[in-house]
Amino acid sequence: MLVLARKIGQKIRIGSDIELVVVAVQGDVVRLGISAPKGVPIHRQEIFDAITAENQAAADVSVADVICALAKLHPPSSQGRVQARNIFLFSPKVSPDAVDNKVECSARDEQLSGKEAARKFKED
Amino acid sequence: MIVYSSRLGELSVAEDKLITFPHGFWGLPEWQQGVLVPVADAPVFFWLQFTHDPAAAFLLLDIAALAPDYDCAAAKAAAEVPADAAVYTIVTIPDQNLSLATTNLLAPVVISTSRDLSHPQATSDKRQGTQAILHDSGYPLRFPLFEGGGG
Repeated sequence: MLVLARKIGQKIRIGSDIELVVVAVQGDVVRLGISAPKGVPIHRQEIFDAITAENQAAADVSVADVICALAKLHPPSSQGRVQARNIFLFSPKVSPDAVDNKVECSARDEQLSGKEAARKFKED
Repeated sequence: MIVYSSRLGELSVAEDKLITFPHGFWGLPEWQQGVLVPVADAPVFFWLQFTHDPAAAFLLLDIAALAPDYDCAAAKAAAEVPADAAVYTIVTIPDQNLSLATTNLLAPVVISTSRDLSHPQATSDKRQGTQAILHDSGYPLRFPLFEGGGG
């Protein structure tokens, strides 16, 4: 790793279009200014790491019964949106019993749900 | 085109329904083209099924419908998209336990309706998407969907 000593106000250039400047140093905190083209994402490392890990965890939502369970949480007979709001923390709270995920759901139901989703999508 | 999904089976998708994610997702750089499929009977949920791998999909939440207070404008600004873009948040279900489900309010998925993200003047009709990061918003990475859930 290249290590450079810089004073406040001094800059470092990376490639032709990225510029780093030491804005301030206070105790063990260094404030850096970064100029880079719009397409270059700049993020604190720990945020980058956290979001990367969360994306990978979310990618693992391979549960076949999610659709089925969700469907049971949002009965088609009622107004889905209102129903959905009721089970979330954003608005009126409900007892944990109401969101128990142990919804009985046969393999055949899952398949139907999947096919139904596909059919609805095609119609859309 | 036909998109194969391990969850939804075979999907017949019109070309203009395909969404391009030019940079993929953090940690999942190859997830670059997908299609939104509404979850049957659960209008706030969508599958974002990717085309390169039948097993590659996110469960998304239509956050504006569920939480009108969520700062969708900030998400669109961070993603640099027109105001008519749609904002979704990714749902994580740990240990296959739905009651522990959380959603990522810190890094929402922003999908433009028509314009190219990187070139707002572009005339391309292709829909583009990106994962925005709401720095300093105070939004959590793991917001529990259910009372007593994970986080």
